[in-house]
Amino acid sequence: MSSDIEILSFGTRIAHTLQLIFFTLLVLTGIVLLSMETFAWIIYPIGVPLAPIVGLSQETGAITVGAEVARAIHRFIGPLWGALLIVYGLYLVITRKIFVFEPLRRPLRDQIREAIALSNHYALGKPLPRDIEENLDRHNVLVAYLTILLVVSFILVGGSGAAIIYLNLTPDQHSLMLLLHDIGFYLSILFTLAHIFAVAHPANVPLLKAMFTNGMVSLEWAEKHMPRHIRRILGRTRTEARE
Amino acid sequence: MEFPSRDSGIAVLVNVDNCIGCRACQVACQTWNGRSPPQTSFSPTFTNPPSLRADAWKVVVFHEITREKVLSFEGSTVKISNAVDVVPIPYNCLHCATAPCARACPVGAIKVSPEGAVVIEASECIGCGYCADACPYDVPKSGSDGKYYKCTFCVDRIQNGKAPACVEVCPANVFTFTSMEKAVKLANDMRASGKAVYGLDVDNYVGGRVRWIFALSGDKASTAFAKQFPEKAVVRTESIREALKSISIPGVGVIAAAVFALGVVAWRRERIRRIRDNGKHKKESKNSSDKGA
Repeated sequence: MSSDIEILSFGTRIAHTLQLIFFTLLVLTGIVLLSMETFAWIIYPIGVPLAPIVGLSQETGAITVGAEVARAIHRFIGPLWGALLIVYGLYLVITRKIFVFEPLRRPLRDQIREAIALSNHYALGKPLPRDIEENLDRHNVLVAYLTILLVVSFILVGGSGAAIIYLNLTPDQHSLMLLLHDIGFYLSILFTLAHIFAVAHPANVPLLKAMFTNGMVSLEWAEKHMPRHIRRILGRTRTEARE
Repeated sequence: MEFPSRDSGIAVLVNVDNCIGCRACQVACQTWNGRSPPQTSFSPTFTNPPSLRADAWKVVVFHEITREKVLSFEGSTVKISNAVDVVPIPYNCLHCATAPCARACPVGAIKVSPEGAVVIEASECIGCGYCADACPYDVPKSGSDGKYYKCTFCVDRIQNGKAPACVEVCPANVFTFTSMEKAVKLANDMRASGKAVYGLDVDNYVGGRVRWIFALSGDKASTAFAKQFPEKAVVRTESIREALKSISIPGVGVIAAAVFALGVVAWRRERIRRIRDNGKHKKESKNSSDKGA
């Protein structure tokens, strides 16, 4: 009998997909403005056909028009992304569904031990110590740390971005906001690289598939990768069944 | 972004002591560049408009200073303490040797001519304001069309063998338009004669030198230059941004490559494990079928 378990709700999957689309668009349009000398190729194909339409030559105008388009998209998508984050964040807080920081309740020593063991396991293929493997929760301690990185980066990027768009800043304030925006962006890229490594790891492929399909993973996989969470769910289900 | 060497190209030495505050340079700048006269208003100073604007690329800034004056008349001297003096400084873009505005412009709309003139190409400007953020001298200003404007060093004139419009009209011989080499020599001579000089040895953020070099008598300069020019020609946030950018873009590339390599190794390890498991599984099923037979 196939026994699957829902690990990612419909709402989570929708929020993640929107996040993925918005974040990708923001990164692509943002890195152009951050470093045109490296990333001009992204906007060049957009600028080439549009430059003559606005009366500029293709040689000199392609970059200008491409950058204008990138900037307009960046400033349009940015607030939408911010609104999504606020709505989704409020939903998680109100419905008390923030479990990602649960591993941080444990003593710091245990957290560090788990983080080192998980890093060695994923990066170097070393087996997990038995006690750690048996007590893995829905989110492990590395996920909790990465989420902190993500929250800090989003606060920096979102706060400074909103200030740049909506406030009438002096050049000094504008420059400071750009610096914070850059720092937030670099942190979010660090998060993204770690996140991509984690989800593309062969051990986590079922989770990746679940995110982009029906949110289900096999119970067998879940019991191996998040045994504590599954014990809690199954225990609750049995209690509910008894009641 | 390439800049001509700071020792080559052109420069203007501004002998502020000669300035009579007539504002002919300000008017000539407006006229030559076809800028509409900005709306002016009364203020407690002669400076009008009160700062550079998108339509005012050159402004004579009047600094009120107090100093001790000594008047001599027929062998007797009179000392006046706290005597008020007005120091007019004809101010415009200083055309930094490695202009931070040009480095900050994300679309390369700020060009640097072979002579060293730093020019905003308005048709290419997207109005992001990064140039204004990066400028330690508060020069680029946003116009009503959202684009940024500033002094062009009259690049159209200098490339045709003429001096900038402001230089040409000055009746008091304030400006010396010459090669950078000569301007530096003249400025050093003035410094040797006791004048204060601004622009020869400024922060590396602007290339260590600017192409509009100002000289003024030491006692006036201590106040007027301090009011006019920043103590350090650097925008700290912008210089941190530049430093971060220079390490982050290659750094992210290296980290991404390392993550990719770790991923490939993990998948290879997984493949080997599966092949081993399959082999073990086949062996076990063969053994069990042999036993069954």
